[in-house]
Amino acid sequence: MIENGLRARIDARYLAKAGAQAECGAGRLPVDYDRLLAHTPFDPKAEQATAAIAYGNVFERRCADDAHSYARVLVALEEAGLIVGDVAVEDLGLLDDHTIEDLAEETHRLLGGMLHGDIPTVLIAQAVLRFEFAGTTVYLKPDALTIVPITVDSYGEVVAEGTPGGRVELVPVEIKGFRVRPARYPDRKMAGALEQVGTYQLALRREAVALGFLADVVSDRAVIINALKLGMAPVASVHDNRAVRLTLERRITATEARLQAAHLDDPNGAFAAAVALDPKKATAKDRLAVMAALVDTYGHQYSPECLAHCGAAKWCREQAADEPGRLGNLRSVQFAGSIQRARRFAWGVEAAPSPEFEPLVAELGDARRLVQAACAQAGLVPLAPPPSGANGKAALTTKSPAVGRGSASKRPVPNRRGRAAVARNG
Amino acid sequence: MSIVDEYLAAEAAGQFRAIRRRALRHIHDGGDIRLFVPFHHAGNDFSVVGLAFGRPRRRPDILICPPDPLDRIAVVATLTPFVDALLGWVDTHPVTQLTSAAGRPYFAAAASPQLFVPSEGSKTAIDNWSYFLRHVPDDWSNAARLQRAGWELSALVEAAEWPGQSTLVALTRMLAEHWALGLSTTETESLAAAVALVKATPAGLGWKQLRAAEEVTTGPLGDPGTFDDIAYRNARRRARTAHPDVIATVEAAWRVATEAWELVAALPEAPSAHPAHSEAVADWAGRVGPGRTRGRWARRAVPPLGRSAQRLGRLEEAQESLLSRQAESDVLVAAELAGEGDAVLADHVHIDVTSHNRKYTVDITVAASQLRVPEMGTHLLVAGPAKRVVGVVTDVVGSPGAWELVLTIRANLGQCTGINTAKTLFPSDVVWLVPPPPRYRPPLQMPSGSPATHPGSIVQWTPVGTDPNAPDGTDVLDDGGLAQGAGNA
Repeated sequence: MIENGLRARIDARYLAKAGAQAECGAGRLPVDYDRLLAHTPFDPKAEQATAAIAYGNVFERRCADDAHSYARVLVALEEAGLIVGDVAVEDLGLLDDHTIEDLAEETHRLLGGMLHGDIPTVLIAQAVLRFEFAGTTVYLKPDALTIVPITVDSYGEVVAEGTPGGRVELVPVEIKGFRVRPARYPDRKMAGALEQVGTYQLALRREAVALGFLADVVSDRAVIINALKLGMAPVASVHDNRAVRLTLERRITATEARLQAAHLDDPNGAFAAAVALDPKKATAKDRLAVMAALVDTYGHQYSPECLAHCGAAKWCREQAADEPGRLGNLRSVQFAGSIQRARRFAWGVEAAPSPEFEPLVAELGDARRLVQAACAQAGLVPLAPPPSGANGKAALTTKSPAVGRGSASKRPVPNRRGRAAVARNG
Repeated sequence: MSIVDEYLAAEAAGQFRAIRRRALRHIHDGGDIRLFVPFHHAGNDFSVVGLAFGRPRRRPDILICPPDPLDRIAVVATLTPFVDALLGWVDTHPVTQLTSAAGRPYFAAAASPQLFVPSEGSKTAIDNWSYFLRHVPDDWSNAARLQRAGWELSALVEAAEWPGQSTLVALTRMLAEHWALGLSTTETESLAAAVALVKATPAGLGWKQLRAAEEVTTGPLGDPGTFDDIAYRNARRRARTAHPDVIATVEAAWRVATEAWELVAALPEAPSAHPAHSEAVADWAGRVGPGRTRGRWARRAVPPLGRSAQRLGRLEEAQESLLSRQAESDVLVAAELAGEGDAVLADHVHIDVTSHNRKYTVDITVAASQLRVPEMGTHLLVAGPAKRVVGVVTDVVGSPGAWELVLTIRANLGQCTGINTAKTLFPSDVVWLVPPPPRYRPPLQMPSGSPATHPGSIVQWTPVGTDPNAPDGTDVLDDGGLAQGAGNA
């Protein structure tokens, strides 16, 4: 297997976003698109903010405190209703001389002891979880894993915490430096953190099964610890993360299957070429050719959400210049199958290809007529009709100089939705 | 999104330039607006990497880039010119205490400050800074003025919930309201990209230009991460001034914000813009009045349920009314409503005016050929060039694609602007029928000042403590939507 090059590091962040675009074949591959498209016109420029990392580290150290007792975290957990009982904390972060494999083994041993009740440990800090993914062993590092005694009712709902001698469950805890304060809830950041915890829950469930327990011993609750208001005081919030965990499970399974297929059958060698590309020597032309080959082989699917997490998003956006998904979820444009086609329908340049399109053509025509009338009445410049003919394709795609230069871009880029739409529309 | 909006988005994306979706400006220009461009570290909402403040012109009145954005004491010391400028400006908008007919005191103002910021993210940044300033410890120098600046900014942020307000406006949203940009919602948040599309020639923009524009507001570095990194490393080196690239970035963002404002300011103002803004002014006056007159600044992070429900109802009502008022004067708004069946574009109009005991009845028969028509019984308002009549749809006859509406309008002729006994309608007239403001009432009526908990309601809200950071201890903590325990520390 080719290592290094532009192979993406598979970690909790990668897994959390794996398969987020269900139809994007290239997006699932463990290719570091940030580095692949660096120094090209589509450079995502996705440097991580140093200040944010530094601040996060300071907050984590503050949570651990000098004695690594995690006393503040335990207090925050208790205030959030998670009564962990007698306190014994294992901080694996102190084992500097251990390899990651050793730490994963130690975590496994501690989890077994905690679940069997053989050891008094209630919280493992800086744990390392093993996660087999597409033939690769991935090591995930949750900030903390805690065990909570609980009582459940006949429906499996937790009705009481802190009952000794009863059932226990493992709860992952993630420490995040972003703030919570009254009247401003960091919803997007919290959603991102919960996706990350979802991957820990999946890994933890596998560990539990390996230890001879049911996977349900891992709680679907997730704990996020944030800094409260202006200070550094940790505050815990408990979230029901079941839906996130289930979604991730399906996405990761699908991605895993796709990746294993890619390893076994990389028809054009596109994936191997991508991960083998030397980022120090590769020219912009090489990089774009590799990108185009990946998309040729595995397909892609662009949506505006890609801009937030995928390094190839800007490249894909320009390839998808005429695709309806580029604008988000616009019902009529989606149904028309392309932006230019929606325009042609509106102007009557293209007739409805089948009866199912007639209402759409009528609606768009009506909208165009209303706008034209309004523009005329308001004295605005009238709108110009689109180029006629079936080949009146997006002027946009031809306006991308960088794509136009790339050798691969002259080939039509397959797009599953586009192909399907053409087939459906005849 | 309405069908007209979707069509315009397709046109804009297809032509790669902005297309007008409003004929008039629906943002009131009170003549004394300010722009505010804030930058903070990605990891710390309360840091101040840079800010620019002032009138919309080539250079900001105030430009502050603290050398160490995370050193709060040093940061607030550098903020003095900004705080002075801000308070000097807001104080030119006085608030008066009045007494209602029921004997209750309330506050009113002729105008409110109007602050324009680059994007929705900037509004969040200002909200966070206002929180930080409100809670500056009393023993810090200039604490009272810093705290007051925080309260004033908070009041502007909260008054900005009103539909049609011009109190605190994100320029990205303002451009997207007046132009279809042909971008997704995520991309629309780039102010420079929106400005480039509005300024594009009929030939349209290219991808290269769009990409370049998207990088403008992150300055010469073109990368938010690198920008953050440079500011951070500069501070760690204990530099005495901000890094030149940081200053250049803030200046570049300021220029784009000024351009954006100029683009919108050039449009003629809609008659509905000022009345819509007035409601936000009243809301703003109610927030700053007690603080300014009694020196007692206080707010609830989450108000009691009853008050929230009432406010939500009023906001809904204001939104519905706003659309109708906008449609009266802006034919593109009327077109949008017509596309959804909430208004009608008339193809042919026939008018009969008859007299009964010195009262006139105006009967209008309208033929329309659009697909969607308003439901029978809908209150409609006939609006065209210099014509305005209120009426009710009493009958709808026809089939899809060939509708005919028959409207009976009963009104004094004096109210039927532009329609006289000679029944003059010119062949070139386009008559829009748009709904009048609804008589809306909030669904949940509760007495004002009701207790925090509402017996029997599904939602129960309980205050969990007192904020030790609040200057007067009156800020009520809440969990802000968090699950258990967030507010208990």
